[in-house]
Amino acid sequence: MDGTYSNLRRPIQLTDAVHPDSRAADPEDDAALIVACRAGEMRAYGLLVRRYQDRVFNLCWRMCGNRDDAEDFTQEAFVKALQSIDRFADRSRFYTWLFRIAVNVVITARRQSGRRRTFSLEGDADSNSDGRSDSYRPALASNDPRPEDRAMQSEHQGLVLEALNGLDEGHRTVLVLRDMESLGYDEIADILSVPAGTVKSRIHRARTALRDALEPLLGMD
Amino acid sequence: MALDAKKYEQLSAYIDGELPDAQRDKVERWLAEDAQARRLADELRQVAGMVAALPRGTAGADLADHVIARLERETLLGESQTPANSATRTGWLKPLAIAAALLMAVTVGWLAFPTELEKERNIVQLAENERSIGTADTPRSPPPSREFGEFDSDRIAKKEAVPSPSIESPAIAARPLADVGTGQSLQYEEEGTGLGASAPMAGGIDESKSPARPAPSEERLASSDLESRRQSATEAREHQLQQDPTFIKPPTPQDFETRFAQNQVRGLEIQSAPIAVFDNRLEVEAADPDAVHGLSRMIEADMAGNFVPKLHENDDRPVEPTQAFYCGRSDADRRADLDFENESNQKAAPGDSSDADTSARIYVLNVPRSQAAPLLNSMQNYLVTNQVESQWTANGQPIPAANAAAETLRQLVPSSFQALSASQGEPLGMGGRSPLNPPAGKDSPNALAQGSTRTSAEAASCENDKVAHGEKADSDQDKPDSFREKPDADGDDARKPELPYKGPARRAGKSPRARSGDDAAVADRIKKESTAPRGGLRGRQTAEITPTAQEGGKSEPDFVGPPTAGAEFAGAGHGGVDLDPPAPADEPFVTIAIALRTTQTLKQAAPTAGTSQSNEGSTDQPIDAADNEAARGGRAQPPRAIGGAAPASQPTSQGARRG
Repeated sequence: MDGTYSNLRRPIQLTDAVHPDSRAADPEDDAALIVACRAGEMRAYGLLVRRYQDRVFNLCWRMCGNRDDAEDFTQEAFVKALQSIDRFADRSRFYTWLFRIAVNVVITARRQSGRRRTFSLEGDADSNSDGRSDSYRPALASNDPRPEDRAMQSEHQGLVLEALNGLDEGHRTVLVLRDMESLGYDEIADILSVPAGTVKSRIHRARTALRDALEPLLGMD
Repeated sequence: MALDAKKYEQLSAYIDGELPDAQRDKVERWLAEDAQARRLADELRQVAGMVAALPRGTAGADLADHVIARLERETLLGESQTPANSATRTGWLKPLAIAAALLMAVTVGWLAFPTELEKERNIVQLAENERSIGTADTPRSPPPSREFGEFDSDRIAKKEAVPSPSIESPAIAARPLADVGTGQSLQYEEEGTGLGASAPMAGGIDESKSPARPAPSEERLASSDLESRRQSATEAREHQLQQDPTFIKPPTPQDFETRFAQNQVRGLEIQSAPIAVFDNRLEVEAADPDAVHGLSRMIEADMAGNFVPKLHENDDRPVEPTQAFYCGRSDADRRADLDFENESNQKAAPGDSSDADTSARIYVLNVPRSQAAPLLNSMQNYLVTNQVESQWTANGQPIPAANAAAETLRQLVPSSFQALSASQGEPLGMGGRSPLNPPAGKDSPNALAQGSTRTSAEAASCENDKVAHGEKADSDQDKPDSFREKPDADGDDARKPELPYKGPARRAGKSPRARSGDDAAVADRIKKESTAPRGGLRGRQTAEITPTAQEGGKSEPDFVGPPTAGAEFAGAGHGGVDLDPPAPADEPFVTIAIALRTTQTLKQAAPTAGTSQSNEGSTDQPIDAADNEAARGGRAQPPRAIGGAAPASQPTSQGARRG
């Protein structure tokens, strides 16, 4: 039933072959798309989503640790952003604003659902009723052929992930934004609505904690 | 210590290149002197590199499609605050929008007749131009307009300012769904409408079709003043379009009605439509999530599982039994709720998704007109027997007679059912020994009020109860096909199925159904007990409500549902859906939308305009909580009706509530 439901949806496929590299996204392009979105042009919505979907997805994935949830959060973030795009002020970059929404979506959802779980490679026990687990072990051990999942099967990255997910949400978020998304401290401060000094201290504490957790790996490279 | 911490924080910032020059120099000097700090910096750099080297995932390829689909749906359903309705809620924007609209209207008028205005404003210059060129009377073509939804990707690529949509915003607002960007998903499903997927999305302005450029004389007329006016007009247009709360407007009921009448859209395909656009809709809200959940079970398990697919036997398209919108819920929750085949899931521990469900569900059923009445009868009877407050609406207006009919039955049912329930010590509802599955004989008031058939869900529930109590299941119900009981040959069986709605003759109260003596006696007794404000019970299994064509001096909408005036009403029973005879192939379809909510939803969230109106009305007649509690077996939260589209000036029907 669920599959049929999904099939019935069959929304119009965006046919444009634009797959812009989000990291090379031009703010002026963003501005033009935003104007078009404000005019209600659905195709511009699609372009904006495609431009940033991978970055937002990665952010959500690393924040929540669960791929399925990350997809939901990503979708939710884009919907919220596009619904309130009139409120986007041009003083900040679009992706900064979008990231802020995504971070809030993840944090809010996790608070509301009470799924503030720690993600552990040993966490087989916290499988939910669907038989899925939010821990990384099933993902690592799965036969999922996706390249990123295969890559995650390496012990090295698994340990890094374990350590990263062992951090509290605030520290994990700043590390993801800084080291994975290469955002500046000011941008992170803008996203998290905290002072830049707080970002700096959080990053340092997070890295120090990671260093302690990953001490056996240090110097191996 | 704190100083040390601050000092070491500089290391991470230094690694990230976030230090100003002066501090960077300090850190570099420190690192040159302190080997331990150097080692720490190296380790921190390695850690940062490890995190950066983590694999990155890619979002689903269809994420954009899903996002757009959700935007469409949420815009139409009004679940979230869209830019359009946010402007509506922002009071100060209204004067601004009005001012912008006025400015736009004046500007449009001015641009539409530029020559005349220009003559008036700058007659000297115009005269000179006329003399020099002699073509000053060349009419100016209107500015190019662009269809809503068109998107010029080339302009985006060229980083040009995106032109605003057509200045005819009212026309845009009134445009049918197919032309509104939010209706794209519907387009795909349409047949024979000529609205291909590319119609609203066809990109860009066709320059070849653009009006001719103004003549040279007009270009001379276009002074800086004119240019500035044009620019201001363009800005006003853009501003107006951004602020106009009607810019993206849900389709009107007439839009849907037209499409349904032309059989262009089947109910199963309507997934983005808000409940308010359906003329025929039942909006149900109850404090008891079990009651709402039971109704949803009934819809999905019985109507969806048995009824709707058979209506589509001649339809070669894949059929999904029904559509259920789970607003604000995750896919996992939706999947869990849709798993109605596993009975154990239905009886999950309190606190599971069903019990905690405070979300709205909207079902859209598209059925032949003749089948609508029995289908709705089943629902209404369930509501009545479970004392769930409901309100029938049509064309955005409450249906007084329908609500009065429900009220009449609500008043009848408790007197017989509550006694039974109390004697058995079990609550009304889907679980346990419901009065819908009474152990008493067919002559009992319960049997009479219960009416005819049970749905398959009810039959299954009854059988489960019997099995649970160690009783032997009825042999004729061992087979799934026999869940839907068949009438006896003489037609006297109390479980005789409801006949399908037969149209105006029945609506006029000319039911051919005969009474049997016993049942007639009980019916008479119940009739005496009735405190119905109008109408009354006639017939053995059918409580026909006397037609009341006029209610408050206003004609009732043409509603196909059974609780309307004169429609055959299946007593207080849980009437099944009679599938025989099958609907004629050419019978028009009727779309019925059913919205289910629990009261908690409104308690937690700010009431919408539609619901608040009804809630205001409900305060003048408080629901008897004690009676409700007894009916529900201890749940004291009073149910209440909602009227999604009832205008404030329209008093909520008395029948929508129990006094």
